[in-house]
Amino acid sequence: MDPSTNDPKDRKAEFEREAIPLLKDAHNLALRLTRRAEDARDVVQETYLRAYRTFGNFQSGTNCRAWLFTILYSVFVNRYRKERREPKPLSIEELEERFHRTLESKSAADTASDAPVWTDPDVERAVSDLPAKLRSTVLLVDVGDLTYEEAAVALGCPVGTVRSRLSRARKALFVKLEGYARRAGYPGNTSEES
Amino acid sequence: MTIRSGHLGEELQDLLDGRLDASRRVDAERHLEVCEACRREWQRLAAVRTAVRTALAPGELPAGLAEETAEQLERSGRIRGPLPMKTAAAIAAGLVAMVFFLWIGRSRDVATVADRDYEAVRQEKLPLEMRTDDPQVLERFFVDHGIRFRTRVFDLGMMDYRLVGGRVHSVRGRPSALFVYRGGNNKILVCQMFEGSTRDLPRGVEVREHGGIPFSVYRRDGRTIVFWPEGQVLCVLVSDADAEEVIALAFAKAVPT
Repeated sequence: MDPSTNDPKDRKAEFEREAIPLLKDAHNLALRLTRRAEDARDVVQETYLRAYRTFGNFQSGTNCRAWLFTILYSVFVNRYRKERREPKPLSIEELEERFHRTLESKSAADTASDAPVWTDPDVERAVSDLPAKLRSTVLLVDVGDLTYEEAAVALGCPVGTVRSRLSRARKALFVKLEGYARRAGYPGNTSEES
Repeated sequence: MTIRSGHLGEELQDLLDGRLDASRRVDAERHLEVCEACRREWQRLAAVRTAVRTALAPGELPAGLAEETAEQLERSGRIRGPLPMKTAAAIAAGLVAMVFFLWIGRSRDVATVADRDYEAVRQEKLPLEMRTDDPQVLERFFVDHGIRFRTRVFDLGMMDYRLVGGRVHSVRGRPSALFVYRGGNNKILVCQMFEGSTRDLPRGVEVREHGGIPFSVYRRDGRTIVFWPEGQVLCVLVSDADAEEVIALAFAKAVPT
């Protein structure tokens, strides 16, 4: 389609072609961010309404997923973030220390097996327990499939911040998941987790 | 390649996320072959990344969400046809929902819509997107979120009503600036501004004039709904507070154009 077109019919068709197929992924991201099914519905509907109203701002040929998820994250932040109590984040030093302590021990993650290393509910719980900024970053990049640059736009922070948050989030998740595995009786891990 | 302390460090993450150029990637992969510590760290970060992507992958859409979303877009007034659905069942359900809600939407006049929105706010079914008691902050929020006409969010503190916040909403498909006050009597006052004129108002109205402005007053189940024009914008106040108090508040908020 000619990107310069302003024909409402063309724009409507483009919206249907670009944005509607992302509904499932948008709902999934909303669900992971809000952690409540009803809230996720509201966020998705508000996102699509806003996206449609402002579709004139979307440049044809650019990444509709990133544009849509930026709106979705904005809707989420405006609605819900301030309502939640956040877990106290680990200091960077503490996190690095714990992560590197786990490196000295064996882990199920060291095997080359294709079998899942940790259970899905444990992963969901570990992600859910992350501090909001780390959680949002890992969700936008690893679940929303945005690039660091796209996530930076959605989060309103520099790309370097996305990179460092993602690094901390993954290390925090590993520490947490190894703790779950140890408590579940995985024999190789002797690391501490709290 | 720069390797801090003889290890890849943060480059492990860049390798994992495909952010290294070809030559750096080759260097990093060679390093992994000979460095057990980096290899172990890389395996663990990769395992986390894979686990997150697998465990949090999308499931099925909740029943009705696609249809509700389509219906909401339809009501926004910008889409005139049904949206494509993936399955024949979804198409059928979506069409039924859209026709039903289109019929409902068109059968409702703006007074009914304003009254319904008031009830939705009162029952907390219509959440506020911006909570603030600062009128200027809320006016800026409306500008930033696509309201093209000038909004005037008044401080009604002198009349014992405190601003709570607002949201970008719609009235019969027209973008609306919706904001809410709460009074000392714990009654709420819902105000909306949207592009329109008194021609949009239903019949059977009581009209009062104040300061050269016509105020159209409706009463529905104990609630008072007051409309008045400000240029190309139609303003409405809705509350279940005392009717004369609501009308007086509208007089106070309105400005001649």
